[in-house]
Amino acid sequence: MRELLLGYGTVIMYYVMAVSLIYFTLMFLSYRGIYSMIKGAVYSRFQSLSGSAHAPPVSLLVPAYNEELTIIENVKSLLTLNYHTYEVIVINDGSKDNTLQVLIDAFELKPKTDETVHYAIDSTKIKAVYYNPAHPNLYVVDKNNGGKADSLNAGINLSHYPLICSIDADSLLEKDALIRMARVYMENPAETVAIGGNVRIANGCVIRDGDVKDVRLPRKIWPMFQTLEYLKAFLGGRIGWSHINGLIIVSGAFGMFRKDYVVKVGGYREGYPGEDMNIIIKLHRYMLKNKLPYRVAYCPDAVCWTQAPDTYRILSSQRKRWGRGNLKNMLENRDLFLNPKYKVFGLLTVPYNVLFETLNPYFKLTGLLALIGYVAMDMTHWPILLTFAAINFLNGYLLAVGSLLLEELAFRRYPRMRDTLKMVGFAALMFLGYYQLGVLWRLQGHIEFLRKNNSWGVMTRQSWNQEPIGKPSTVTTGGEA
Amino acid sequence: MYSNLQIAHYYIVAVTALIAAGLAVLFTLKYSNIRKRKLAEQVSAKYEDWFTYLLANLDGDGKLHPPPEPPSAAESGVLLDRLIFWIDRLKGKQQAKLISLCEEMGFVDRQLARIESPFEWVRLDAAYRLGGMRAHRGVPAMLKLLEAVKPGPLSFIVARAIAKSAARPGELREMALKLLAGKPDSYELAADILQESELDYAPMLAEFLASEDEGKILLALAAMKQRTIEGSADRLYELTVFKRKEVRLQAAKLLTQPGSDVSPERLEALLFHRDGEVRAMAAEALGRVDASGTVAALRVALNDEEWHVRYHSAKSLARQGEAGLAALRLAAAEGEDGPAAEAARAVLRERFGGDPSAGEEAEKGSESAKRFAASAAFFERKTELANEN
Repeated sequence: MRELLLGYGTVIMYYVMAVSLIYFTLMFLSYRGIYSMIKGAVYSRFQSLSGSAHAPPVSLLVPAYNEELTIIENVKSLLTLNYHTYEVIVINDGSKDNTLQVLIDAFELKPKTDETVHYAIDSTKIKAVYYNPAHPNLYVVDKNNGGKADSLNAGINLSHYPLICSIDADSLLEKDALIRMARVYMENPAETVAIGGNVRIANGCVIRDGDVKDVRLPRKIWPMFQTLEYLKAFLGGRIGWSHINGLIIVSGAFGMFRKDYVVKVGGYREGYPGEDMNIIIKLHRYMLKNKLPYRVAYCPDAVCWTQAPDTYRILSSQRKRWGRGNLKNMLENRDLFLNPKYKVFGLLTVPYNVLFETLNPYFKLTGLLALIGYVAMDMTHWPILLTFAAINFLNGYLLAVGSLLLEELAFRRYPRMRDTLKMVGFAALMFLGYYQLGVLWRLQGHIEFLRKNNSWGVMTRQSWNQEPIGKPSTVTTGGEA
Repeated sequence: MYSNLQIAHYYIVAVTALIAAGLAVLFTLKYSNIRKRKLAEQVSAKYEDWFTYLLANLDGDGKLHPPPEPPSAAESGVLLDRLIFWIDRLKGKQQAKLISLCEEMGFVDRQLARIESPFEWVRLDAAYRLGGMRAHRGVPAMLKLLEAVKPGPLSFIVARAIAKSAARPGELREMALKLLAGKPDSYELAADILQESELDYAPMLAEFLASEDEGKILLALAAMKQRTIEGSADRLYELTVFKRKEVRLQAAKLLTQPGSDVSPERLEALLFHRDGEVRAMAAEALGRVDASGTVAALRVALNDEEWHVRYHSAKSLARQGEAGLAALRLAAAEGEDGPAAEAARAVLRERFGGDPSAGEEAEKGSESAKRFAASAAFFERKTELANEN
């Protein structure tokens, strides 16, 4: 037993060293990649480019399920983006509330009979398309409930443009977010198959008329933790991965794709969470299998604001769903694991995801049990345990500080000194339970997967027009079928 | 075990030091950014009267004068940003006056010195500002910088600055060629950059269009979305059989766009093109044409293997009056569930809301149907020949 524990301890030590090395390498690559990204963003003439006919036309796809509280505001915001040619396609996914009717009433939509939809991708049949020539770039699709992926596929079938952009119904795009993404595409259109945007937490911000007027940190603890988590993941992680063309996910809340390639890979996978990761995996697979030069890019200055869950119940539901989706994607694509045919993606990205994301809860759990074993069998001393804990904490905290520094260097969204102080403080607090909860939720997500639980979980919508002071109105909705 | 523990302790010290350094840099940067913001506000407030004077005198005949007290180096940066902001949004005499003012205030000279800096980020910033001021004197240095930077986001920044500042078409041409050499597929962005120039670069585009270089041709085709090149119709038609598909598609797009003076015969020929996208564009464009062979050609295209071609052919037939609708009804009636019948029925449904035969009877035995059948046979044979080739 002692030998087993000792051996296992050695394995865990190397595991921790490996994951730390990868995180630091990604952080280094993020710093390397950020220079040209900052300069490209600062010096680009977005104002003139947004009015340019050379910017490629884009179809914004907005799946909507039970979004009656926020959909009008969101659609109005999407209809006023700074972009030359684009359309907004809202797909009502069999909502049980009045999502469709509020859209019809607000925009005076009528059924569009002179539109034939070609089903390039399998999706639930569209019942009707609603339109009003007074809003020439707005289409509302009505269909039976089929899930987010099915809705996106239906939207793709209707779309008229060569680029598609998936947007969550509760996402708030900045006015120049689309043109910033388009600039990245235009710099390398032949090879760019997908571009991920930057998702930021809107909780606590002052939002009026679909615009973030004043960026502030959340007041509640759960969104505050998520703010830091997103900063670390997006700035400290995704920039680095995109630098080596190893990005495994483009956020479903805001991502742009070449429609022809999405159709070639069969569109979004239906019936299960994790469709945003799945489509990127499929794209990597297709391009590498067919030996086509490509890139999956990331545009950190194209920002989409989203409401983060602000209660334990909603947050845990979301994280369990992510855990399920992640596990399913890794199992479905296990043939990519260490497969040299798939280059960086197969040799680095997928193994990293499997070992350090999917299996992470098991290493952490068994590591904890091993620690208990060490103590019980008097195989260790407090200084050693403290040293190990200190290393873990300091590694994670260094990465957090690195992300905050990247944010200050490149974006400076939080202008106040007290914002920085708060983030520095909370970055340390996260180690006292939040990360551990993350491990637990992922584990619970795996258990749900094994129990074949396919639900979306519980979500809550809040009206956008809320001031930081005062209680917003809240509607709790159920999951989709 | 103890030596491992020592290593671990050293590691902890090193990481702690890194964290401390990171936090120090973070707060220093934060403080610096806050100060810069405050400085910008102070400068804006201090020079508010001068800004008002400038805006009030943009249209006048006299030149604009610098502020009474020369600004400090820090203030100059803020003032220059404001002037560049206005220069970008104004044209003609107003813009020219602001550009002269920048020259008089020494901003151009300062940036010309900075563009020789050994640091790339300084040179880049200088190029951006020189472009903002439309400083022609900076073009040679900017061309040199364009050569030096790695193809990517940074090269487009420099290229745009050159486009704004170039005073001779040759400089624009050199910029375009350097850009294409590094990033040949970003021709849309390159075409957008060219638009920044006030120069007439139509001769350059005509030259590029006539060349055999793919990059040049694609740039010219992209630029032609916003400006026509006289007498280019024949060349565009030639390019629809170019070896690279992207060239073929872009040329066909220009030929088939509304307002293009392409002949119906050429459109009908494009209906049998090897690329489905071109055939679809031709099918759509034929809906705007009123010519004798159009209906028959579109009827044949209803049998195309590509859905978009069939659908647009059907839509165009629906716009061809009685003859077109008759052809659609015939296709809908005789094809059972074939692709042609499906497309015809879809368009008839769109047109008549579910009752394809509404308003007219099918003209199966009519004279026009016989004439149409003879033309259709001619075009079907033409399709077979095209497929064999």
